[in-house]
Amino acid sequence: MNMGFPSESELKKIRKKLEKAQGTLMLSPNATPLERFRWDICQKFVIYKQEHELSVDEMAKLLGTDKAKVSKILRHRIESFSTDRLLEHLQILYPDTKLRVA
Amino acid sequence: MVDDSLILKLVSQLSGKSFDPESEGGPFQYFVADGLEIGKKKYRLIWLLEKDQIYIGVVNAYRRR
Repeated sequence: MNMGFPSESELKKIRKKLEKAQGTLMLSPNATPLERFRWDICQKFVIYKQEHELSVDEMAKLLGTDKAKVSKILRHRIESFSTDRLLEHLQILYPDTKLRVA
Repeated sequence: MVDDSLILKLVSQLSGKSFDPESEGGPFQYFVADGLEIGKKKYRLIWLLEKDQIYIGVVNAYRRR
């Protein structure tokens, strides 16, 4: 393995930059089933973006929404999104989406 | 205290999940996860992945107050 880890000065810059980044909001261990479901929906968006090598702009165009909203979904910061809206967007990416009660 | 043991517990919480990078530079992608919980305390973890390499580089880990 040939690891080319960033230099200390590069790491210092990135630490400073990322202090202000929102980051992905993790699921609480006490999450309700609905919160877990909504978090899992966001995971699907991240996976889709990675698999199709899309930029946030490209995803926004595909979903017919703005970049800021897509960014929030990708970071699982979805307080202002209804579950219906998340599912509508999800069905654009995965038209064969089915919901099931386990 | 944020020590190696705690960092390993934080990193283990990333398992099985997908993350969108916050920043990219050269061969590196940088990720941030917020609200990781250990013992009712919340933490923030910043890590990197290097293209074509198999390791997780922890850039920073700290408790959120």
